Amino acid sequence: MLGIEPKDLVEFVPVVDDREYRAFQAANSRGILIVPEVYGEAGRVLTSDGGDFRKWTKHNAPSISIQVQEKQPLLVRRSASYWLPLVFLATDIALPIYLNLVASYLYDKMKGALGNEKPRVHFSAVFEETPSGVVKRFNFEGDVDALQKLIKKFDLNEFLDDTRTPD
Amino acid sequence: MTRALQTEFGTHLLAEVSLEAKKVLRALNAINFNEAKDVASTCEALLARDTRASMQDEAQLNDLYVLKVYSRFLLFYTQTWETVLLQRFSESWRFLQDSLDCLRLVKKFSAINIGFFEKQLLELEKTYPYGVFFSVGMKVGYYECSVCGLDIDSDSCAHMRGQLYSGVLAQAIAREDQEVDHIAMVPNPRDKRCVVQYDDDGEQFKIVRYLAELLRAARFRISDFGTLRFSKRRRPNPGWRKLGRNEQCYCGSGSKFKHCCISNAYEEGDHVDIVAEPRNVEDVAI
Repeated sequence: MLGIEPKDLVEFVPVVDDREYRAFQAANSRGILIVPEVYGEAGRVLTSDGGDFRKWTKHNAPSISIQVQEKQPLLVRRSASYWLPLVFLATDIALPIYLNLVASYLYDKMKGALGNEKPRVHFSAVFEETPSGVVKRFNFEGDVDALQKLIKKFDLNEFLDDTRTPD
Repeated sequence: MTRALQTEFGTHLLAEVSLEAKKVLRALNAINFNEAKDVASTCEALLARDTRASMQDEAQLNDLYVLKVYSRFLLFYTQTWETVLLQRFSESWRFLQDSLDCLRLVKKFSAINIGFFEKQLLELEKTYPYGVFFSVGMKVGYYECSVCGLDIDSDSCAHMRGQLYSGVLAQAIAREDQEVDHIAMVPNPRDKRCVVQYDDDGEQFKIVRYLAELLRAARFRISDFGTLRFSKRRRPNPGWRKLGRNEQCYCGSGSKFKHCCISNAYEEGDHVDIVAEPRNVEDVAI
């Protein structure tokens, strides 16, 4: 083992400074907002696959509103992974719906994959947990199988009551 | 029954290209690389000049694109095996990656049966020593669409990355403020060509070198290669010495032999069998 083998990640982290998310909510926002992330000393960047994901969603799930908060330089990583953006989810997009959207995007991108090639995906989503009203950030790293497994394990009702990570 | 390509035009041309693919395979089996390259190059040139596709018919143009990629694959495939047999392994790795990239496009945009090539080349890939790759991280302003020249992520561009439009692949070209941000070592890069360079006569290439020697010695033909069988095998430990049970161990531990290396007479190592599967080229579905 070289110590660089990718590890899966599924975590929910309470957002300490939730002002930006609250401002998004206060604007009566709907759907998904792609948000640049602070990166190193260079300020904020967007992930390289974020623009493609936004366009794909507009074509394939036109009922879902998806916008980019502001144009920023793109951080391009040349690994075989898909780097999807940090997003804010409005109340009309539950996290499991977003996970299904990401899984569909990945299956589309996997067309033409050879043998057992399975791309990995990295993404984060900020949402308001109900009924507690706590703003949390969900971080995921893994391949499409791990994502599909997570979607299956999600019981929407249980998730809304309690943000325990599925076993 | 699913058609391999979208149009009658494409299906008709595919029949011709498949015949050329078999010619390439027969020439490779005869270790006649020049003939294989001639066939593949001629095939590609003929398709490039083919004007039978109606310029208005998007499906025909897309089929033609797929066939051009398939014929380009035949050339890369030939160059892969040629450089393997010439024991120019670093170069052969790049041709192998070119071949695999072509297969991905053919598979994405058609139902052409590439199973034989896919399985064989993925097995060939395993004979190389590369497990870590260098991946460059960059910051760019935006991506330009290779079809219309607009920002491909914008709504004003009507194209999606990686999709075909009238025989043209929409690709994202990095523009503005390009700067290298970092270089990472990754096990799964988008491009496997960025690797540590080894000498072609290095120990690292021993499996692919052995494969080349078997093919050179006509132990089996190129089209017969398709399977590697990895296993663990016990073999005598060359550093092991037999001592009396109560003697001090040779390894320098200070312990008695019976409490130390007495059971290390054999060691377990990785083993790979190259399995030949004789097949008639005429029966290979390509």
